[in-house]
Amino acid sequence: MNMRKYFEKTDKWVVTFRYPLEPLEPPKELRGKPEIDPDLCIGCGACAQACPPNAITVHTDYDEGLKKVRIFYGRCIYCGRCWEVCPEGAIKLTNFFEMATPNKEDLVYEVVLPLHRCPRCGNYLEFTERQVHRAYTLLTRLPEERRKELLERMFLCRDCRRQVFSLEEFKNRRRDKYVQASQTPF
Amino acid sequence: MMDYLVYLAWSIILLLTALIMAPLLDGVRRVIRAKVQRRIGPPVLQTFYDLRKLFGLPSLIPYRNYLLVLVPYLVFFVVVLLSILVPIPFVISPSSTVDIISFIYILLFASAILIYAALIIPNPYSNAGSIRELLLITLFELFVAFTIVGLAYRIGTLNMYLLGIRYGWTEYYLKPSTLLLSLSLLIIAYVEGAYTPFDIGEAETEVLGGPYLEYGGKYYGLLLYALLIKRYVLLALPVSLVFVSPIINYVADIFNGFTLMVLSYGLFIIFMFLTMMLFSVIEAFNPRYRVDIVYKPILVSALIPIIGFILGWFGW
Amino acid sequence: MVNFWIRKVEDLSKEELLEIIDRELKGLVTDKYVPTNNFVVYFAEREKIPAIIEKLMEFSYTRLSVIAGNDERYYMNKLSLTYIIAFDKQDLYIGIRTYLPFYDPVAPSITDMVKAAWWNERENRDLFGIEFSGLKDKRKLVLPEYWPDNVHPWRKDYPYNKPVMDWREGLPDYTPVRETKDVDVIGFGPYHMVNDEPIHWRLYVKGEVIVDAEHRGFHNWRGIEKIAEGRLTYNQIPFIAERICGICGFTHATAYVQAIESLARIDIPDRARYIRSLMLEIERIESHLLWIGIACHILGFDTGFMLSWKTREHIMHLAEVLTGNRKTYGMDIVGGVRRDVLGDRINKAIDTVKKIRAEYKELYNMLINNTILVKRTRGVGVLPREKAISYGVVGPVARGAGLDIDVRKDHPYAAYKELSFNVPVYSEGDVLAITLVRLDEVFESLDLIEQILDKLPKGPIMAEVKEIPANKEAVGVVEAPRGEDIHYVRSGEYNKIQRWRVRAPSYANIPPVREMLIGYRLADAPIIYASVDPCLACTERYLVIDIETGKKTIISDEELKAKSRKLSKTMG
Repeated sequence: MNMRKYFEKTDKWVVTFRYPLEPLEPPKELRGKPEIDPDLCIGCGACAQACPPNAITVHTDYDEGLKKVRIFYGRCIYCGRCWEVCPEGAIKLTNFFEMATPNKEDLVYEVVLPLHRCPRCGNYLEFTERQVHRAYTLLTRLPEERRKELLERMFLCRDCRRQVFSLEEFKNRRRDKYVQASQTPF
Repeated sequence: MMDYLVYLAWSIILLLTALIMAPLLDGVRRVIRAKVQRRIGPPVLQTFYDLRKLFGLPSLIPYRNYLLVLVPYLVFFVVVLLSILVPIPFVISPSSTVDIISFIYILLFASAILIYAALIIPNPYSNAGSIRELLLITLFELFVAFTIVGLAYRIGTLNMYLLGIRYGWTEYYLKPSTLLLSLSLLIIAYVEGAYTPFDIGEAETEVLGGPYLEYGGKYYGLLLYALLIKRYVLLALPVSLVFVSPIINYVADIFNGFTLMVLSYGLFIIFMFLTMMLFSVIEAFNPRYRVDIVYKPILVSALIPIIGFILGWFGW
Repeated sequence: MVNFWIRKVEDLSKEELLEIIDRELKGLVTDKYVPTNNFVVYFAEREKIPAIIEKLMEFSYTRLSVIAGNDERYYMNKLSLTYIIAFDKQDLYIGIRTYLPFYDPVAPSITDMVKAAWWNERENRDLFGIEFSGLKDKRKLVLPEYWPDNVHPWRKDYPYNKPVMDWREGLPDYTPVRETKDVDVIGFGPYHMVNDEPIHWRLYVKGEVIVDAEHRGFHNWRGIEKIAEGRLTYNQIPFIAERICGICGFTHATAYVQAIESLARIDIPDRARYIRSLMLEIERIESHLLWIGIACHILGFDTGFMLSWKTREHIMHLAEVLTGNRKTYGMDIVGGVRRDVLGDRINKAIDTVKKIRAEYKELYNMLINNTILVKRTRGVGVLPREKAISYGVVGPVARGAGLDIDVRKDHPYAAYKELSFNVPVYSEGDVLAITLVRLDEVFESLDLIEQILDKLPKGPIMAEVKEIPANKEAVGVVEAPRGEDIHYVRSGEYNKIQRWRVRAPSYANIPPVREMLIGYRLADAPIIYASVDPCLACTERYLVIDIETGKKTIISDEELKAKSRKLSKTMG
């Protein structure tokens, strides 16, 4: 007995449904189980920050180079804050509500994303490949000269970036100071 | 010899009828009540399932008193005995050996065992429930007494079997006194059966659990079964006197003995279901009385059998 | 002794009343400050508190709402108490704040004067360790009996996630307070068919008449205020506030966000205010219909129960279509609401209201014309007016006792200033009066929803919120279906909350039930208790710890005979 059908035919005498023995279709606005689309998720962790009961957690594993976004439905309160803050629209609340199960393991869903590897030193960054790629697509809006400069730096890890560019800066500055010093009158 | 065989056969049939009809009638009552409340309700056989479940549960002994374990068996036995004595017109059953005063007496005996047993248990809930039930029975005795006396006087006999047959005769049935007494019989079935306005003893949403409180598992199953059979017996009395008897008497000359018995039995079953449906609808629309406001309706309604008796005295 | 409500000030405006109060309290208070436009705080020394409260309660339409304690040892080495008093006809809340030194946290008790302080003082004693001199009831209110005496969970040095002690370490020997020869003790709860939530009443009866009653609640205490201070940001708190109660959740969330918006001076858009009012009225209807069903069920009228909950299904479906869930709406956020009412949902809402009104009229007529129901509720559980004022009862209980108070009219919030509706008031004070108040309020709510949908303004639904300023306080008040729900909020640093005190309406309505039970029959006890519409989840907001071990007394032969003799005496 479809719920929508009942509310259209109001002259039906018996108003209860045989629910577990017959399927029940909930309205589409029902805030049910949140589902993460693994193709869209970039692993930013905004959902984990916004989630009030901490049902979504993000775990970074540097040994294997993986970032795991884990949602535990046992703590989910179906509020929809994760849906509001996701920048990619990867997590959405469906209207599925039959979540009861005797095994706790059924209530865990994990999205595993590879971490970005630094091309110079080979260490893993805390960002995923998709996050870096996403940053890259955002940066294509910048003017040409700035883009070139940033492209040299953005795929390196922090240490490498510091080593490569600070050393260069230091050398440049020392050279400038030397030039400046040699140009003074005394 | 033939007579004894017929008695035996009908005793067994009546016993089995009681055992099967009692939960079935309760199922019908629940289904009708659910439909009145606009919901689907349980299947008709639900009470059988409930009883089966209860008999499978571990049994609790009330308050460490092993003597009290006898109570469910006693009550059940008494009530089953009564079910054999139910009068169905023209059916040769042991009802011809008993009179209506003994019938009512045995019925009250069953209630009394239960109530006094509950008073022994030092549980304030069951005590309070028993006292309320006792009060209700005491108040109602006036009504019952006048009904019995009125019937006996009007129909001229106390024997259950003869009452069943003669009740439907036209010179008795269509008189105003008999009609009032018929109404009284139906009211007795309703009030003594503890349907909702009068289930004061067991009012479980009002702090109490009544006399059934301390029993669990198969003892509670037996007590529940006994209550259902008691309701069946109480209902059988007005059904066979008021509804079945006139119809059977009308067609008595057409059919012979055996067909008449079967017809009578069949009509009895049908009218039991119909009357239970009526009771269920009445029950659904009434909240429960409180023990101090119930005495006025009961005492005032005792006027019905009293007037019936007085009219019968004058031959109307 | 306090002479309640002898100075009639209900015709005065807010400014005139404030002038009078300033004058009256001149020698008793030391300072004054005005956090928001409806909340004024006076500072006073602790010895002067009884005199101040007595003076203030003499004005008409006042009520002691809540006593909020706070641990301010980080700022000024003191514990503080804020007595919040409502002035219902002037849209004003006056807070009297005292500071108690941490080495001597003693304040004078005002329970003898104003009964509303009874539970508040006991709670502050449990949670903060503030002693009240003159308080005779030294039992613990919210903590279990075996909790160690010098551990006070709401102090700031007690972490919110500290594991509690094992309840098996010590079960108390709960002996009854009074035991005489002919008095019977009937315990009612914590587990009983009538209760949806665990509560324990000890009813001392003679025969069928109740002579005294004792209450022991707070079995399902959850620690929500501490969790909110400990680990939630200010925008995550509306979600936990919604789960304080299973029926009036949205009122708690709204009261909280109103408090935050008040203290941060945020103006929310008009459309958001109207949508909040809409959801509040939807919640009121479904709460009242639920209560009508429960009351019928208690009186043995299951058909009324089924039919009223059938009517309630329409409202639940409407809530699901508008917000996504039948009960936890999740609509509130600081600065506005999260979901809009768009498309044909407005038409659906209007159709639902029409349908409910038709069905509810039939239900109303059926209940009013049922003589047994009326007989069982008339003259039962009467609460006299003076006691009602002293206990500070709110909501339908107050309106059934003749007090004309309703937060929607007295301290308007959301869109209620622009909407017109009536407030039903009956003066008998019995269960029938309270029932009629609730029955009439459903009609009023249906009219209100139609008005709101008619007048819904266009515009955004959320205002931009930059940052919540630290160390500001405010009071957020909403009329829950059960009465006035008041939240006292004090903001802290780093976008978190420093103190959040929730006083649900049942907190004020349950203490007088004891007075309402005395003298009536045992069979009336559940309906009297239910007439208050106890929402225990709202009242008890702290941690689960133990199961009550109730003891039943053994009744001897003589006592039983004496009881039945007494019963026949009362019957005859």
